[in-house]
Amino acid sequence: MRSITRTPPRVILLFLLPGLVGFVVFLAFPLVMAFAISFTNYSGGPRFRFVGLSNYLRAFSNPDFMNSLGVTARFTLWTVAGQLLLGLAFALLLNKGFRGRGLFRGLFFLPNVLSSIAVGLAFMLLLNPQRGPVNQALAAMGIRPPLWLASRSTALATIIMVAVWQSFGYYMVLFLGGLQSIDAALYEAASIDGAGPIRKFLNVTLPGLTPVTFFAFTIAVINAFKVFDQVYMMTGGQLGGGPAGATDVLVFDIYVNAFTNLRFGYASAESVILLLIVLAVTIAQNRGQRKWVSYDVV
Amino acid sequence: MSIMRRSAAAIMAAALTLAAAPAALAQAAAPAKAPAGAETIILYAWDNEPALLKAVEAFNASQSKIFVSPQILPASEYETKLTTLLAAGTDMDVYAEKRQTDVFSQNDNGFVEPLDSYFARTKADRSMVDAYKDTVIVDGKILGIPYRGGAYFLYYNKKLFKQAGIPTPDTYVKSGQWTWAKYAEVARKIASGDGKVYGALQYVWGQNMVMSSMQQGRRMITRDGKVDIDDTTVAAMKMRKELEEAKAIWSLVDLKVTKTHYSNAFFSGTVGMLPIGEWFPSQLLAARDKGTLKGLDYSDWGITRLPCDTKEYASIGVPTFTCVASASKHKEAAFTFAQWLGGAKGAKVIAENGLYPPIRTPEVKAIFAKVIPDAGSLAYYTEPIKVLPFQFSKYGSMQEQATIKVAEEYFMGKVDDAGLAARLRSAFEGVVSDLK
Repeated sequence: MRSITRTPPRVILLFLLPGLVGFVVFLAFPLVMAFAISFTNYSGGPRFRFVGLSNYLRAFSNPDFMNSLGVTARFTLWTVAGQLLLGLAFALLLNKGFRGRGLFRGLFFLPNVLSSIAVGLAFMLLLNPQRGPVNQALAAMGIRPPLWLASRSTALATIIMVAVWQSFGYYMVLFLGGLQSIDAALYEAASIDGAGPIRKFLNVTLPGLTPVTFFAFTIAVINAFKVFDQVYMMTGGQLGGGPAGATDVLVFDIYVNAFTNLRFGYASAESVILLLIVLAVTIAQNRGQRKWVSYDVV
Repeated sequence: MSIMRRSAAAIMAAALTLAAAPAALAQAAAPAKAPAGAETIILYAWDNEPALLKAVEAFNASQSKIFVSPQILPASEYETKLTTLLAAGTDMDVYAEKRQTDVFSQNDNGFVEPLDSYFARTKADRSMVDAYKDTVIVDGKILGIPYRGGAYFLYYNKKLFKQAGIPTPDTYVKSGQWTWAKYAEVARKIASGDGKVYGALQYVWGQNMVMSSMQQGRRMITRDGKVDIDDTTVAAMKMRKELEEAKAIWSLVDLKVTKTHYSNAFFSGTVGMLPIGEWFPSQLLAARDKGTLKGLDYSDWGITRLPCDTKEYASIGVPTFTCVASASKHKEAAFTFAQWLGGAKGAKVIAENGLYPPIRTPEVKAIFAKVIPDAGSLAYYTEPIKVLPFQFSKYGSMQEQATIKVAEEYFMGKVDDAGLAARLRSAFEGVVSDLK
């Protein structure tokens, strides 16, 4: 039998090459270019100049950028909480054996594979303040219907609701995997010790899920920072991010500055700031996991 | 080992083929063949501009020295793709400018060929440039040649006026009463008050928040970076807010979040008045031909002047123009086409397709007579008028975003009447400072 160590390096390289080329062309090179462009006033042509840190300084003194940071932070907080809590709740429910369990698992996961654009468009029609079926149903029941996307106070919450609806199925599947990897003997031992359902959940399930929770939390935070599709579709396209900046998330601000205002240098600086924020949060999470993630419970 | 090598080679070949396929598929539809010996020039335009393509066909058919080959991009991605193509140095001789204010950035980057010397050398007709000199002449240089005029008109639904029992707006124009206050009064009378019928619809663009102020010469931000607002700007927004609260006009936020297009709203027969640009008759014509005019017949609409508070009437608008690419290797031919397109012959074709050319010859008026439903509307549509450009400077797109954002803050109650002027000023000063 051949052994792997006898495979020539050039054959290994040949198989690695497509992935490597893709990584360099579509990830590494654009990253380096974005960083470089962030120090210029590039506007899409050859006549640009080095401007040092002025794009970064401008960002932090720009009320629109600071508003975007705040909106993104609020979006991240509520979306991550919603996705993880709902994901865990449905995973616990669907971990029990009952007829049709597989069908329900599939149904709850289904929104995750739908296009965000299509989901955004669908909810935009459903939540039309005057003519949408949701508000018509609420009005028929005597409930005063909210304005959803047409109000500063409910627009962001509406986007959060749609984002959570679309993605919680993915986290449900992650938690299901985690639940099924917890040793059943631990639950038996807990029963012998007289633990009730809540005690078992707190002292066996939750600790057993900490590795999955850490992974889900990290992914959810990164994805939340990158939100764009729903905001673009549901708040007015290129003129969106409203009303009055209520849903103007950071990636949307970057998009407008780059592709509507042709301020590629400034938009690149915003992108680098976003990257650094996400990196800092991820590093903090990674360091923090030593305190609460247990890999030896299962 | 040889099996592995062959498999790897086959996988690589398949991957490369798949990667090349989208590029091949993305090619524009094959144009008609160029006559032998003709100089071929490449025109970039967007896809819902059929009048321009008809004009290209007419130009190609009218002579055999220059052949225009159109490259069509999706309208929704046109600005982004054009920026990328220009930056990449793609073969391009002439292009249509969809977001007109992009010409400032393109000019700063050296992508636009100034056309002053071409007009001087050829002594070609430049009336279409002079008609819109405040727009296409930047720092003394002619940067584009208009092929579509730009002017806002007031389109109205005769049926709704008849149902409401009030005179149509042209009556007020003739008696000199057609001011913005009268417009507001008429909008309230037409509206049902419950959102089923609106007296008017002012679309989501920035200029539609401050039309009356722009008619009086306010630019919001001048080309040299000065904030240019006054009481008329505040009054314009205040009027809109009051009309929205009375459900006399469609709310800005509602239009955006429901993606309601002004044309569909008007075609449904539930909007009494629509101040919008000169291109609208072509949309009405297309709707008639497609059968999508649901709430009104083709004879049920009319055109008149915008309301105006000044003695001398002025509309607002920006023309649509073509630019000659500075990197073009066929600049003379590109200029010849662009000048033809904006001249009398191109104007005829543009008008035949329901669009408003930059010059209105008697021939053009005769063509419009077949499109515009009544003589009075035709007279207003073709009369020579003063047109003031809106937000046409390097601050253009950011100025528009700032106007819309402040308007939303004001309409939603985040800014009150007393604070509106200061908020507008600070927003516009922010725009100027960002582009320093």
